Amino acid sequence: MDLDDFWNTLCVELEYRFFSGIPTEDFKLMHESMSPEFLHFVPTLDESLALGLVSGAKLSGLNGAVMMGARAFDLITPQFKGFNIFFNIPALFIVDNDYNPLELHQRILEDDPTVINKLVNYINNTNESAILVINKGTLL
Amino acid sequence: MSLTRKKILNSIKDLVFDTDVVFCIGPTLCKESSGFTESTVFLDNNFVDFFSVVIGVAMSTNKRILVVVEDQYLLRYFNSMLQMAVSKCTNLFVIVVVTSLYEPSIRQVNLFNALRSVKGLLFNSGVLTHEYTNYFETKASIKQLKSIYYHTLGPVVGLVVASSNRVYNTNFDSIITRDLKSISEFIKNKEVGISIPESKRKVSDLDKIMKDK
Repeated sequence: MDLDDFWNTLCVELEYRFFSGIPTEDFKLMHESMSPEFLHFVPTLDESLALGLVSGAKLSGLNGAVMMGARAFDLITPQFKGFNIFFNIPALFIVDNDYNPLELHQRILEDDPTVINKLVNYINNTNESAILVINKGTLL
Repeated sequence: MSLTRKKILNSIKDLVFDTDVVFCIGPTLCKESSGFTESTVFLDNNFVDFFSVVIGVAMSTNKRILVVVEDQYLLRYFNSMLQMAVSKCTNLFVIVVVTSLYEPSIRQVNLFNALRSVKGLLFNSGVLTHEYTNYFETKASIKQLKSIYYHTLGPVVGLVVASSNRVYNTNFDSIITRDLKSISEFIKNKEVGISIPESKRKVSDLDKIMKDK
């Protein structure tokens, strides 16, 4: 999938403009293609902090996503359960593989950009968190 | 020391503006408070990093955000304090109630007083840190602090040293927040207004994006 199409769908069409997380090698191209013209990325000290920032932005009415390695789910579990599940604040995770210990709804990004729309619709309809898996080499 | 935590919490009512959003974090502080304003959120869990959530809120709104926490909570989530320092959120203010104890019932001291200079530590990370204890002594001095609070740009941490005496509010369960919908509506509502002077409001990339929207 083309990187421009990806950002266009997520940021312009679906209004997801606040991103936070820890850069990983698999997201190198994504990070290089980010621009403050259409999104705001906040690098953080750890992934649970990134989840907190994105959840706080959601409280202010700004949609966003946490970008992190899937292994970080082990680290963010207390924060996720204590805040997002307790107060019913959904979050979108963009991760690099299908490791899903929290058993959240997840979709793997393919060439078809409607996967992103479906995932965002799921979040809006159910008010539950979801995961978008982007395997290495999917975004070009 | 005469300044009790209960008195500090009551004084915060007089400090904040109606347009401000207040986050009171930690079970013991929530239990002692009898409610500040309608736009106050009480989060009674020590094991969740609510600081990061507050930074996220402050980043995406122009409303003034005041956080009231205990020294123990500040130390526990110090990484969030570093994040707050670099965030340059001019609308973010933190009041730290310092007792230097984990729990008064067990009288076990925490690390706060053992640190050489908490003020220096915070200042060097990029947060302005002030000693606010004297301002909480009388109503007149709180009024003075309100004026300072109005004209100061964040991120700012105010340290208030309190005695370890605790007076729990018996009906604290009624003020503990279980649903953040109303506060979310309050933050989003632009008609409520902003207490930060217009000339001092931040202009970030995020503001530009939101403006374009």
